Amino acid sequence: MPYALDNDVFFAALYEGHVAHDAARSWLDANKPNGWAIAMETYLASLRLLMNPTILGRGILNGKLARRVVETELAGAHRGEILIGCERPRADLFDRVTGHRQVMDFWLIQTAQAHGYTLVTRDKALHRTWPEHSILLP
Amino acid sequence: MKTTLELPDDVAALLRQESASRGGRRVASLSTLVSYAVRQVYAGVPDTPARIDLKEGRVVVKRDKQMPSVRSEDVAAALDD
Repeated sequence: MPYALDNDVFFAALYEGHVAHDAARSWLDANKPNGWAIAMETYLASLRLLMNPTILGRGILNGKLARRVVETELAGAHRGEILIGCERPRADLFDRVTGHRQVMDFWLIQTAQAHGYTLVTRDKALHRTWPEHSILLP
Repeated sequence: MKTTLELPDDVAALLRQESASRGGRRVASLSTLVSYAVRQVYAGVPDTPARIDLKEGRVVVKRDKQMPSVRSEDVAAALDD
């Protein structure tokens, strides 16, 4: 079963200062051979986070370096795919949205599922809502 | 660092309002919001970006003392801006 990482898990794997870095990094390293991906939205979110002083403080990257970080992670022996969702938000998923903060998470569920991937998340509420479409990392 | 700040009423009200809109003090404490605002305004352009271990298929952006520890809540808040 291939996995798609959500914004938080992917960023945690990249940044040593994320409280879940060790767990996310280890999980990603161990599971890349199974096939893995991020959605295009997660790619862009990573660029934003790597360039944001509230997240990286004095260590923020410029656009060129931030893009290189993501591209280099996606390269290598077990390449990561980029998932692009082309369908409209599905009623069976989005009719269960109860707050604005859930919209992107539900979109990542839909995008992962449309490509045959399971979403990897640290979001307990998201996993409780969609246990069949996600796995929960500590 | 623990310190005491004397804030004008309007700033305190804005902080309370922002905290409430982000889900309350547990998610967005006043301390978190003040840190966020100070970094946004005063961090500026760094002299050198973070050190990075760049290996194909495995990248780690290293954290030094000038860089914060972040939680999932911080990531969500940054992406919610």
